[in-house]
Amino acid sequence: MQFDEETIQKLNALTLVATRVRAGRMRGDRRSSKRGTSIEFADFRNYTPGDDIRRLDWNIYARLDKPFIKLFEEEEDLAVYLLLDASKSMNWGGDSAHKFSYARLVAASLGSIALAGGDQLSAHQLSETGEGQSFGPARGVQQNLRYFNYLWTLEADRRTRLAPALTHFAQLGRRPGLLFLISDLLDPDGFESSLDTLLARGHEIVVIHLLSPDEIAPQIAGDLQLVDREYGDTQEVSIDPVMLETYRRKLGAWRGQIQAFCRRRDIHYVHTSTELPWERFILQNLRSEGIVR
Amino acid sequence: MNFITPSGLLFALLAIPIIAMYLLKIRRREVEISSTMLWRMVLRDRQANAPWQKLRRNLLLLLQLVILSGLVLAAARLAFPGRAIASGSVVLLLDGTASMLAEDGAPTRFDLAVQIAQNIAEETSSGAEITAILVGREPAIILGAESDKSRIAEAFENAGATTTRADWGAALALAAGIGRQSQAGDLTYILISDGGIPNADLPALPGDVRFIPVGERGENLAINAFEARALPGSAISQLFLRLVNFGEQSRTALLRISRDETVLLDQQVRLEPGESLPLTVDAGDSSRARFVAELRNVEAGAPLDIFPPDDRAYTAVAPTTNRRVYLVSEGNIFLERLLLLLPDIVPLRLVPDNSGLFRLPEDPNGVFILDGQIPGESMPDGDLLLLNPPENELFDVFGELESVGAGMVLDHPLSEQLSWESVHIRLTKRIGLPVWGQVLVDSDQTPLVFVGEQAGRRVAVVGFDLHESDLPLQVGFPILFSRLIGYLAPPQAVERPNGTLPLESVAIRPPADAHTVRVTTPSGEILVYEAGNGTILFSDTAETGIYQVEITSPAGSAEEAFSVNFFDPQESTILPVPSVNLGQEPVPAAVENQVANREIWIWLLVFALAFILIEWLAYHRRLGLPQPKTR
Repeated sequence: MQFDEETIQKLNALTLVATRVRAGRMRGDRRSSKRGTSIEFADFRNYTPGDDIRRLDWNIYARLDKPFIKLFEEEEDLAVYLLLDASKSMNWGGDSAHKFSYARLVAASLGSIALAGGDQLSAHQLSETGEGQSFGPARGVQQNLRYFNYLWTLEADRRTRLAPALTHFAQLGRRPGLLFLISDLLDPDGFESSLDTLLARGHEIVVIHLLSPDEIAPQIAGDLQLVDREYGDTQEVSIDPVMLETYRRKLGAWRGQIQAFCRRRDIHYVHTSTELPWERFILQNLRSEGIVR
Repeated sequence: MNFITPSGLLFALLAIPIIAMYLLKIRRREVEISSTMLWRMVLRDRQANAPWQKLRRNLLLLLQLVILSGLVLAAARLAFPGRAIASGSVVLLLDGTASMLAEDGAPTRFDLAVQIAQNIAEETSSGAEITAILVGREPAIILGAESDKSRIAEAFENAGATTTRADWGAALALAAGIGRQSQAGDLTYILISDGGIPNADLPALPGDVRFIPVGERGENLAINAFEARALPGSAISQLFLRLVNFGEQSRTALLRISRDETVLLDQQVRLEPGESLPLTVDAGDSSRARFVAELRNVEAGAPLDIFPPDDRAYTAVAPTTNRRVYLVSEGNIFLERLLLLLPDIVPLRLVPDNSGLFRLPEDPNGVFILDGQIPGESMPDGDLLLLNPPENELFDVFGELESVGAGMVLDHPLSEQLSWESVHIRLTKRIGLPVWGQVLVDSDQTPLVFVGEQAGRRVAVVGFDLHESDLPLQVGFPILFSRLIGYLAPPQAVERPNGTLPLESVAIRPPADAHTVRVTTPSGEILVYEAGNGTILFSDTAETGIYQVEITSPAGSAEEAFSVNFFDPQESTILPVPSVNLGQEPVPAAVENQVANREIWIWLLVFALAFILIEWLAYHRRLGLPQPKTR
């Protein structure tokens, strides 16, 4: 998968915005709130693919045969985490409005912006036990192709409970950063407590809530036995216009509850339908939310 | 509301499986969705009330139960008592007798009957022919095979009840004849009456017969007889009165008797149910007077009962005229003695002149008793009693007969209670009965006694010589001859001044020399008749009250009176009956003013079909959304 040139130009013109800038260990495009002593050496850290090899300390590499990167205090980078819900419920929505495809495009866009901005990007397929595939940390635009390849090897083919998966991620002890959760949030056990855990780790969280058009306004009627794609559960329901109206009201209330929860915790919450073109979502919706600029 | 086939209601049990199918298991299509989480949230509240919650707002179940209800009611043949919509030929028999004037209808029973008849006519299917017979003293067809509803309504509006009893036999015979001639298909007889129909000797009706009773109450206190008579040999009159309680409750009432606006009696009377109370009241010197008796409620201003016609009675006393009765006989001690005993006549026995011939006086108002002979060349002017008549100009005489058989008393007012069983006749004239003759006593060979009116005079004929029979020794002799004399020489021109019922005829026999007779009705209407043609039959007696009769002759005018009263126990018994017998078949009463059950199953089926259509629409509306993918 590859974006066309025009899209890449548009994306490269964007920058991810973290209202609470986290101190980075690497020179980035963001100025630190701490005014240090110019280009004073600060520390070493392990090399990670995508690091500017000009900052590799060749002397140490020659002496220890291990790559280390020199860190300078007056500049910082931003850790960007993209957590992708790859549960079976995301594998839904038809060709034009497939949720997981849409989620990959959004993740690709955000990752591309991060890489172009010199931020440290990590992407993770959410899983409760850590067996999900991960990407990064990486930085630099030259990592785009690898990142895209990573995204397009993912499949939404597993059961995933959001709360354990997010808690597991929080326990990995990553440095605080800007964390994007891209999910349909359709987890009967809820996920709110795990967001609190992530907040406690110092992350700035953006929840991107994806739903397909037929989840927002179901086009079904009659006496049905609904089968849950992810868990295989069944639910008997007689759907008539009154019931559909009730569903729409309930959905609105549910999203309202999530939004209120997020607002209380200073978490960004953006919901969208997969029928909205992803470019417009990135360039308009996220920009209007102040997440990119 | 009732059910003609109640067992059809068992189909209502089908509601159980219908509801059970909704409650237990609905055959559902499997549809895969991304997550059932949101639907579970939607259904959470509803499932709290399961299983009944499943039935809420379930339009299809509701419609199916409504359809089932309609079909069950149709199967049970739901029907409402109502006036049946008749088709074909409908013959309405409308009771127009006096009891229908009872004021427990709208306002009378007859008014109510007319309303019912009009309603029936309104609901009769178009094309049906309605014939209406007003059953009264003489049955009258007020509507003949009519299907135009405006004419039907007009005919009923013009109908009215009378204060008479009905000739049900004639009315039913007429109705049966109309029914047999009808070509309009189904034949239905509808009898609207309060009863009073005799149980026997009524013809059967060839068709479906329905009886609609009218009236509710039966309380009625009545004056059943009222008559004034002069005491023999005096000008003092005595009033006879009979009160009857036809109801089923004890009644107390005020009785007032007046003579020419003067109150003679005003007292309270009490009668037990069914009691008949006779009263006699001295009326004082009243050779010419009018009397009115009236029953009133003890509560001033309140009506006595619901049937006023018999609450008031009238009678009149007028001076009598003693007519001369001439006896022409060779000698008949039986007749002579009898004539001396009879009141209101002046008996005269003629004797032959020196030549042995009888010379009859010119007295057109006299009565001549010709015993075995006819003096002169022709019959004298005046009324005649002929005994053992010779050949004459009035009827044929064919010699004599010996030892005729037993005589038979025929039905006639003059022969009532007359016993002829022990009368023997040895010799009698054989007489050809004239056309004007009405036989009182007949034999197998010749009439023995007959009367009649011929050319304006009255004639009575006894075909045998009293000496040739033992009749004078029998008790029937004074009865027969006093009646014959009374017939020939009534004390008044009005023959029956009391006891006339409404619409009955009253015979007025003015003197031979009278030229006009004026009758003034109780309401003041004056009717003038020309005298000279014998008896005048006055029939305009619909009103009850006292009728004044003024007879004008060259000698002056004489006034008499007669009364018309509603003395009819049958019609005063106003309690409605629940059923009647027609032609040995009991006809039960229909409910109120309705005659049959009206089934509405056809409307129920239409109703059910309409709801099936609604259900079909609702079902497709429900499935009208794009179909989901099935698993």
